Amino acid sequence: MLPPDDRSFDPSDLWFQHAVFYEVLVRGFYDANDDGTGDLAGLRAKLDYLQWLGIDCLWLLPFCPSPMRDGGYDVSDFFNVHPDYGTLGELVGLLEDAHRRGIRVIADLVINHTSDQHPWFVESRSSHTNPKADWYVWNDDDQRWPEARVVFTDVERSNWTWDAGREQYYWHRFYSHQPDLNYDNPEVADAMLDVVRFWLDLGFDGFRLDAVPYLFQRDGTSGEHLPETHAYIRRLRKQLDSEYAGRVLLAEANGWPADVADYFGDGDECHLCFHFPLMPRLFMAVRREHRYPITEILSQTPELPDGCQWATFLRNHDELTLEQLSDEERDYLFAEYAKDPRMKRHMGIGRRLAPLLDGDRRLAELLYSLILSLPGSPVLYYGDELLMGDNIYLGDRDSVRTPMQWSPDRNGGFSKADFAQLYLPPLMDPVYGFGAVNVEAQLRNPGSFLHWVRGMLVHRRSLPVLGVGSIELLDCPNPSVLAFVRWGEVADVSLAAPAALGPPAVMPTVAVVPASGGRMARTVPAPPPDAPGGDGASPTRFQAVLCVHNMSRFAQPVQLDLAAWAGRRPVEVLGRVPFPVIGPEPYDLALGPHGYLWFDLVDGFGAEEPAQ
Amino acid sequence: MTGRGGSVSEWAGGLGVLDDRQRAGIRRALARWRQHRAVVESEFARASDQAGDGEGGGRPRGEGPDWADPLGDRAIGLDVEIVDVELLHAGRPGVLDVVAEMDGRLAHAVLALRRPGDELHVVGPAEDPALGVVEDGDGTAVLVDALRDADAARLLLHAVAGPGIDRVPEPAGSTRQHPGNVITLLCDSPDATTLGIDRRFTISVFPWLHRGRHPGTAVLAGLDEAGFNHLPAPVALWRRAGRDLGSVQELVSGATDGWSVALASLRDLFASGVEPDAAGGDFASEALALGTMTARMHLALDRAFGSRPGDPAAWAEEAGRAATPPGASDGAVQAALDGLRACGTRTPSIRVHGDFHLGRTARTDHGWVLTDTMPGGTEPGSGEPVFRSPLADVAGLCASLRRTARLAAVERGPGRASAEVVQLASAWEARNRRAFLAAYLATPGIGGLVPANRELLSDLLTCFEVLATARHPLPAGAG
Repeated sequence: MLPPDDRSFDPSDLWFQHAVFYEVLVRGFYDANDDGTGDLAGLRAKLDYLQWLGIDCLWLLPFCPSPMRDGGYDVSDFFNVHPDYGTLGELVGLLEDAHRRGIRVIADLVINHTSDQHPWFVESRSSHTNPKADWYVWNDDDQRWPEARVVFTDVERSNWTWDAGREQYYWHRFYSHQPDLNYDNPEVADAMLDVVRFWLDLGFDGFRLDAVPYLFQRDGTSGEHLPETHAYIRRLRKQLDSEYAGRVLLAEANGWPADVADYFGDGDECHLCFHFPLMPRLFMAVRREHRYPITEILSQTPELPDGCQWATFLRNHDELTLEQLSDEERDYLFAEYAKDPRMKRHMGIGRRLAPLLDGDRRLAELLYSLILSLPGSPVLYYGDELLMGDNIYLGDRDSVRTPMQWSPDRNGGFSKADFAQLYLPPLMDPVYGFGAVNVEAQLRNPGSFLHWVRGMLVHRRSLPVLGVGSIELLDCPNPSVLAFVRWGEVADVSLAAPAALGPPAVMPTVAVVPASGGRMARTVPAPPPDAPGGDGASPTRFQAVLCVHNMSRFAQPVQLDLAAWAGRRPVEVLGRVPFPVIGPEPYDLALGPHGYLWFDLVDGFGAEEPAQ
Repeated sequence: MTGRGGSVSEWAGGLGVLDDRQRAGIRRALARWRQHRAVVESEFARASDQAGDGEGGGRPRGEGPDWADPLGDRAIGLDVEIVDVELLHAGRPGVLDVVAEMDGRLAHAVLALRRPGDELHVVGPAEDPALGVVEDGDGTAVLVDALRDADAARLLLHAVAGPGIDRVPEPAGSTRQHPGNVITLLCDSPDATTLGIDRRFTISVFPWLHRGRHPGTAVLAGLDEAGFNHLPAPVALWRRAGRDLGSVQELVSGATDGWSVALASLRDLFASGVEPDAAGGDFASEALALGTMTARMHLALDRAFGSRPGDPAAWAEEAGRAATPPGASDGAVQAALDGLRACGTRTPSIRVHGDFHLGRTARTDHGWVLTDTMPGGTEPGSGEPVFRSPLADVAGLCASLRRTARLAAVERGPGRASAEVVQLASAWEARNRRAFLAAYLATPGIGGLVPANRELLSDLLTCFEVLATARHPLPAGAG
């Protein structure tokens, strides 16, 4: 369908700091063997599409053998591939093909628990004396650790479940069919390191660590974020650094930024952590029509250690979690985005991006613009590049895990199996169904959202400072406008925007030199335009990008104090349109409804490039 | 805190006193400065007129400087008597602080001493800020308004706040660091000129001085000492010879005035066409936060200045004498005022803000702050602190909610379902008033400052809303 390009692999160990991730559900992406379930061969067949889209790294949701009572997060064999998805050989083929196209691949590592059908648990529950007896957390009563909250309060009443065979309770922070591993047992800790080695040896580029805060339990604590957990992550990281340089750990730790930042350690734990609290506040800001939900959380986001990065996202395979919100804020978002009670899941909202926004493309572009320009590496969820819909009538979080919509053909082009065979029904409604929303149609339409997303990824790649540059929030008297400058030293590569976005483009590989002191650095380098790097290493140059966003549905004026950038010319990124040079006076801009503008703040524009 | 600098004699190059030429040079510069202030005051008055909230006046823009007159008498044309001079920074650029009797008032100007030909980084409008020339031990100096000269303004900051200002840590988690140091003119009003310095501090300089303590800085200091943290933190209060000259505060980043935030909410409401509680831009959570902040402000004012018994009957009389705003003749208003006249009880009164409304507040990344204490708990034109029920400020904010809603409805324009818009505005005001009052009254400790009797409380609110509305009238044509 689409010709591949030969984009080279970014060789830097810090590749993840300016990468765009793409979260994909193997089961739901493409069915190559017509059995109704997506598989690894299917994903491999769609690498052309992903390469064309311009993502840098795939994140595979769980693919190990599992009874599939929790979307594969109930693993029953850590060393194999679920037969529905293919074989280990097909997985290796996928990894090789992806790497060949410059796409890295990370895997979900379900580190905290297993399925109750995992042989380890089957053996452990069989007696008090078997070799695996202490591989899980057992107790004679269910009263221990009362401070530990129940995560899935709508399903589970306790973190303990009675096992009639062993006549003891076992500990589980999630579903009762997902017993927690006992990391106090050195054999367990070692066994999981073996799991890590196994997948890295096959070629994976890292892991997203599932439910990482819960590995240990201690009396009198909530059982989250314990020092022992951090110590184990450091051990894991040390193994990566010594044996698998350039591989990454991405922590799923839903918490307040200051708490989550602990998972970076001193740069010796995880490379990336999800910034969970930012996500619901993006949705809140566009409904409240002012920037404060976003700026509040940014102002409470601590600095990163060197070599680390936040992972940001709009939607993922779970519900839009509202855990890190006040009761008032949660009620507000439920009222705004989950008007039907069936839209609620656990402590969140089980909807995809497009339906959350009532299909408003301008809003979708605004939110995408935000996560592509705010600090962090954006993680896109499969199908959201099409503005795919959801099915709130499906159970649990399957509402957002329906098949990828490739074409208007049978089953949306996802599978040639009988409809009844499909793992979940594809969407067929008139608004979001595959007849209306699919890859084939959007590929043919240059004005489609898919093409817009691809274009934005291209532009983001041309502005490496968006990866690790410092951020300066600009004061705006208009509360509906969020404006900030991303700035810092970047590798001195050609940053000219691509001439056309039609055919697949060959993107330059870029390396970004973080500003001194990390992304939130306060040690300010004097802007040295066009100056080479001072250490004799790869040459760098100063880059600054001004991003302005309108949270309101109405056009808004904004007057920005850009005096510190006086003498530079804002060049609008999407069209390379030069704007008037910045002077000491306030700089006036106007934004359309939910509008956004990115400007490259260039020195000497016109000297090298003709003004348009 | 007082300024740090040399004495007049040091500046005068060892002469011990200002010689006649120096005195004339400064007088002439002050005359030019006065012309510049007249322009500021005129433009401020014009802007206030346009907002329907002030009075006109002021002097026309002056002509160019006449430096040919060596003693400056012709250019002055004013009775200027230098009262006090302090050299805040010697050399070039130097900074000279001058207090002078002028027009029967105490004028206060900060002058920069510049070498002829110096390149200035001008703050604010790109007009020539030069005011005159003077000779001192370092030779000829061009006198420049120091608040228009970025280098001099920075020296002034250091003189007022001390050299340790550079060591004041940035707030944790700040995302507003900047790759360059900047000085910006934030506000130039008849009461104060305020500069933002490096996006970290503001320095406010009073052009006209009170004979004693400036009520606004007194309230600012009192609130700060009482632990009220919804404020841009004071860094230094600039005083000399018993007079307040200005202040340095931390700059609150990301601030939007409360008026603009409320208008954004109203715009969303009118576009949604649903009840305010169902609109995405619902303001109620902000009104709740404002209520809590207001109560904390009053508790801090009580701690700082104490309380005394207040007389509701006197307040009712005052409201009765106020220019009658629309609605004041309503039976309900008259009943409330009559009720207060007859209540025969006293309620706690404290040193209130004095002119509290949305425009005195700002939404920031860390919640709401009080941005302007300058009314200082005094009536306009009065130098003495006024003690009132804290409900005077509460009513001020309630009146401000009403005024904002009405103004937004008016600006929506005629002919666009105005009845519906007015109804929505009214519902918005009611909802946010309820939220504001609920949060205010629920704040621990506030019960000691407001009457427990709900009827009395309601009557007091009505009374003070009459006064607040007389001060800031409602726009016409909005129901």
